[in-house]
Amino acid sequence: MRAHAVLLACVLVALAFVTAPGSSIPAAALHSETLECPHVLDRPILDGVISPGEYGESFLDPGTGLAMFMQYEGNNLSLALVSPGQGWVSIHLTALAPGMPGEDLLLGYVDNGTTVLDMVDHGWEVHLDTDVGGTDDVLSAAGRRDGEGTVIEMTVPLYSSDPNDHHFEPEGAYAFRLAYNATSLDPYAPASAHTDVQRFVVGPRPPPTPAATVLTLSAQGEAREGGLLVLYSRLVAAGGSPLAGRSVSLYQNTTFGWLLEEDVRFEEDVADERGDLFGWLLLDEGVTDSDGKAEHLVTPVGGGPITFLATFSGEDGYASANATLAVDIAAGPPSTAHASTTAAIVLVVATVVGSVWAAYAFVALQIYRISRPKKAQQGREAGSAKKTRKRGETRG
Amino acid sequence: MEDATQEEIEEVLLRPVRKTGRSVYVVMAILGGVVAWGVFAYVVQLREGLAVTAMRDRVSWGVYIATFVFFIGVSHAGTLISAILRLSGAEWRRPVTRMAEAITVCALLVAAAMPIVDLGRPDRLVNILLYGRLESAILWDFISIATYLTGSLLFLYLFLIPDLAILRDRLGAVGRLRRWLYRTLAVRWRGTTEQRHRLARSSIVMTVLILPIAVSVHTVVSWIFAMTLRVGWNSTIFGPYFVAGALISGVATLLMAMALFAHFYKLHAFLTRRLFRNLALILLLLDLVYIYFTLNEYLTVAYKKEGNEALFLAAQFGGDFAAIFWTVQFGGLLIPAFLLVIPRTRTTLGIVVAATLINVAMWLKRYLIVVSTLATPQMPQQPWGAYFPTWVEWSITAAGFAAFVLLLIAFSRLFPIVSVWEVAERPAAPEEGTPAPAEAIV
Repeated sequence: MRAHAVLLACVLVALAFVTAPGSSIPAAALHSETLECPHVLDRPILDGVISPGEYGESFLDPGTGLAMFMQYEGNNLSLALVSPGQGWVSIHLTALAPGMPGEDLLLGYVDNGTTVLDMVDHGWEVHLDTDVGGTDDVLSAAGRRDGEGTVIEMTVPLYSSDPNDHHFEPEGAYAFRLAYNATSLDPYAPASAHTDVQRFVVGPRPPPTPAATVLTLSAQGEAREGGLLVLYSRLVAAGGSPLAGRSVSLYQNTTFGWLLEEDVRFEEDVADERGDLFGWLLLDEGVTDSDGKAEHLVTPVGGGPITFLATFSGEDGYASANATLAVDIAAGPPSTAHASTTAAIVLVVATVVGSVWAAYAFVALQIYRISRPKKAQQGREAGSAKKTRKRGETRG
Repeated sequence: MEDATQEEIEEVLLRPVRKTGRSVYVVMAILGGVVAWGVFAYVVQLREGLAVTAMRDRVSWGVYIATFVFFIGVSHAGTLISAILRLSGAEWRRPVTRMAEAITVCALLVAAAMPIVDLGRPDRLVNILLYGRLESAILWDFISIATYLTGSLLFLYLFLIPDLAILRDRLGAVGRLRRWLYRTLAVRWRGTTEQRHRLARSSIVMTVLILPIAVSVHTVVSWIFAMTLRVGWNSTIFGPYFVAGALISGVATLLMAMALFAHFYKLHAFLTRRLFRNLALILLLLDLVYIYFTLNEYLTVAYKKEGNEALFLAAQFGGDFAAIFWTVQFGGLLIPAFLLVIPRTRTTLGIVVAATLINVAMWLKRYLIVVSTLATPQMPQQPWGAYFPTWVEWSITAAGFAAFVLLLIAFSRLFPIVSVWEVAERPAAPEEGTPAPAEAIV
C-alpha cells in the first residue's frame, strides 16, 4: 500500500513537471571563454520576459542557477538578471584596473513592482549611490517573479557621470559576478549564493551610418550630334543642404565601357540584359560648387537615345548617390570629313580600274595572237632563225 | 659570260631546271615541314576560332597583318628592277629581272593569304564582294591587290614566253606533265617577227602600267591605316612612306635571293659582283630616303605631341616598344647604311648582310606600325592594350615565310630563274658606224 502511494506521488510529481508551463527563461549559454557584450540596434523589450534572441549575449552559472543576459545599444547597456530564488538578485561589476573605489552594484527585486537599486559595494558595507553623493542612474527596469524564480531587466548608461558607477568603453574588458538571495527582498541581507568572477568585453561600436544624400542630373544645351550638351549634377544632403567640394563622376552608357566598381549603388536598375553593370564609359569628373552643382560638358557622338549616369561615391560620413538621365540626341548633318560616295568619284575610280583591266585584256589578246601566228610568216621566220643561230655558233 | 654562246648560256641557266642537287631537296623538305606545321596551326585556328591567337578587342591586328604589309612591300622588287630599269634602259638588270618578277608574284600570293588567315572565318571573304562599300579602304585594298597580282602574273608570264619555248624545244628528257606545261605555256612561240612585235607591244604596255599599279597598291595598303583617326596611323605621309619601305624591302629581298641562287645554282657568272654593287647602291639610296621619311614622321609628331600622341611616342622611344623601335632604326637603317656606304664593307657578303638586316627591320617596322598603335589608348582613362603572339600566330607566320621561299624554289625548278633569252639577246656595244641592232624586246 505504501509502495503504491510512493509510486503515485512520483508519477504525480513527474506529471507536474511534464505538464508545467514552459520556462519563461530561455536557456543561457554556458561559457568557458570571455563573454562579448555586443552592440545591437534593437533594444530589448523590458517586460520581465526574456524572449529567445532578445539579448546578444548570455551567461549561465549552473552551480547557482544564476543567469545574465547583456548587450548595448548606442550609449546604453541592457542587462537581464535571472535567479532561481524569490529574493533579490544582483550584479557586481568588479574593477580590473586598480584605483576603482569599490564595486558598482546593481540590485533588483520584485515586490509589487520592480525595484532596481544603483548601489556601490565598498567591500565592508553597501550603500545606495545617492547616499554617497552619487546618482541613481538606472534608466528603466522591469521584472517578474514566479515560482521558477526572479527576472529583472534593466537599462543603465555605459558611462554615467556618477563616480560610483562603472564606466564601459567599446572593446574594453571587464569583470563581474552575480549573486542572489533565495528569500529576502532586503538589499542589505547577505547573498544566498554567488558566482565566481567572470569576464566580458564590450564589443566594438559599429561605424556611424552615413548621412543620406540626393543626387539629381539635368541637361541643358544642344542635344544633337556634335553639339555642346551641358549636364548639371546637383548633390544635396537628405535635409536639402547642398554639398560643396564633392566629386561627381559622369558616365555614358555604351557598348564598350567598363564595369563600374561594386560599391556604386543604383537608384534604378541600369544593368543590361545580362544583369551586368557593363558599358559605362567615364566621360567627366566634376566637383560640386557651393550650390552643390557640378557642370559636365559633353559632345555627343552619334544620334539616338543616350543614358547618362552621375555618381557620388560617398565620403566624409555621406552616403553614395546616383542619378540617371536619358537624352535623345538628334543626328547631325552628314560629316564632310569623309569622302562622300558621289557618282563622279565612282566614275573616276571605275574608269581608272577599268582602263587597267582593259590593258590586261589587250595583253591577253596579244598573247592569244602570239599563239596563232600566220603560217607563211612562220615558215619564212623559221628559216631565218636557223641561219641566225648558226652565225652565233660560228662567232662564239 | 658576256661573250658566251646561246648554248653555253642555256647550259648554265637550264642546269637547275634539268636537275636538282640534294641540298635543294633538303631545304625544300625543311620548308615543307614548316609549311605543314603552319597548316596544322591554321586548322587549330579554324576549329577553335581566333581566341587561339592573342588578338582581342583592343589589339585586333597582329603578326598576320604585319606580315601581309611586309610581303606587299617585298612584291615591289619586280616593279623596281623590271619596270623602272627596263624603261631606263639599264642593261645590267637583265640577269635579275626574272628573279625579281618571280619574287613579286610569290610575295603577292603569300601576302594575299595573310588577311584571309586574319579573318578567322575564310568564308567571310565573300562579304567584301557582296557587301563591300566603296568608302571602305578594305575594298580598295582588295581591288588594288587583285589588280596588281593579275598584272604581275601577266608581267612575269610575258617575259617568260621565249624561255618557255626554249624549255619546250631544248630542255631534253623531262616528264610528260612538264613537257605539256612548257608546250602549253609557250603558246607556239617561234620567235617570228610578228610574235616578237606583239610581245614587244605587250611588254611596253605592262612595263608602263605596272609602275603606277605597284605604287597605288602600297599606297592603298597604307590608307587602311592612314584613313583612320588613330594615334600613330593618322598621318599624311603614310602613302610615300609605305612605298619607300616597299621598295627597300623588295631590293633587299632580291639581293638575298641573288646570293642564295648564286650559291646553290652556281650562277656566279651571271649574278656578278657588279650586279650586287649596283643594286647595293640602289638599296643605299632607298635606305636614305626611308630614313628621311622616318625623321619626318616622328619629328612632326614629337614636336606637336597632340593628344595621346605623347603616350604613343613615349612607348616607342622608351616604353614597351622601345627595343623594337631602336632595333629598326639602328640595326635596320643606320648600320646597313654604313655597310653600304663604306667601300670596304660593300662586299657581296656585306651587301647581303645589310639586305638581311633591312628586311628583318622592315618586318619589325610593320609590327610596330600595327601593334603599337592598336595598343595605345585612344580615349580618356583607357588602359594600354596587350599583345603577345601565340604559337598559332608564330607558326602560321613562319609558314608564310617558308611558303614564299618554297614557291620561289619551286619556280626556279620549273623555269630558269635567270632569263635565258634576255641574257642571250643582251646587245653588244655597237661599233662605230654600225646601225643599231634589230628591234629588241624591252
